[in-house]
Amino acid sequence: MRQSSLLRYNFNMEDKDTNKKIFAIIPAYNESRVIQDVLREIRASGFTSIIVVDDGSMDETYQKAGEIEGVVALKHFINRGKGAAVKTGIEAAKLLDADIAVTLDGDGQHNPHDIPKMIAFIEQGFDVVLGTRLKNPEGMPKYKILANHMGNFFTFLIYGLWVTDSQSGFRAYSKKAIGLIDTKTDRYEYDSEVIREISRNKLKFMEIPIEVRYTEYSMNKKDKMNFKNGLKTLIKMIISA
Amino acid sequence: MNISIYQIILGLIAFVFIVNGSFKFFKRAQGQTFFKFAVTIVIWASIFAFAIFPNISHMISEKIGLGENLNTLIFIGFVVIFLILFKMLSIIERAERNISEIVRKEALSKLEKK
Repeated sequence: MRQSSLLRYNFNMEDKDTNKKIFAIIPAYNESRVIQDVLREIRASGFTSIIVVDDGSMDETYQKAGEIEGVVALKHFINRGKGAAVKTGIEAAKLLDADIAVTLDGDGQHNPHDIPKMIAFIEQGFDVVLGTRLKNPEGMPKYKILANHMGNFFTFLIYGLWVTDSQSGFRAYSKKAIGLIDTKTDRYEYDSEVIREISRNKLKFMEIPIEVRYTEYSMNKKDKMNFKNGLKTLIKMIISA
Repeated sequence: MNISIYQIILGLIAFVFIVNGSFKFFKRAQGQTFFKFAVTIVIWASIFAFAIFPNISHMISEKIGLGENLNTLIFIGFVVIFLILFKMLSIIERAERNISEIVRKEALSKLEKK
């Protein structure tokens, strides 16, 4: 039943060299201004199978995402947080029998040209590839660098694994990692919880430098991580450790 | 030092809970959080200490100048409040998780229907 309904999708989703099904997963909340540009850029980079999870947006993010060819647009009927949206995307990728899933932010700050580098490491046998901003922090605001170091410190303290960018949303997962990673948190603490799951499941991981584009749009978003959200995230990390 | 049967029983119960909580936490059992672990240790270690060394409560009450009965009452009150708080946090956490699961199932059902 499930299989037949899913077969109706006709994705051009295979890596030409390895025949692997690769899905880009994008959580989006009130991104109607930029979502189509973000999706077009990903498609232009050669990744035509995209899952967008609209996390209860009040604008037309869902409709606009669905207009782009090859995009599976899903919608949370209420806002549940970035982590919950990414998890829905991962579950959708599982249903679509993905071999590799790549998660990117919906505001266009991640450069899809970095995706092939990530996939190359997955194909070399790594389970998770973490994009890290701190190996190439050019253009990154100083307060974000400081906040990242703090996030890394608390992630290490609470979850026991040291990484250089525990809050990056640009990551790639192998089929094994997609099946094993089991997260419970819904909001920004999700990114750190994945680090715990890497440690708990003894997954082979790699960190690679990524380019992050801080635009006026992405910097002025209301729901971005700030000091108050950071504090909330820390408390939730302690509770869910 | 005379130890009564109730002290031994209470001490043993507290010890079992501390060992069990630690085992779950260090084994990284599903659903076992740092917060739960910390609360378990604080509450049961206090109960263990007060059961085996009841003089601690006398010493504390003398130091802060409270009567023994009041001291005991405050201690019991703290334990009850901690337990209620812990229970409430667990309920909220579970409810939040369930809401997300319902929202997720609804979103994914569209994928299967198409």
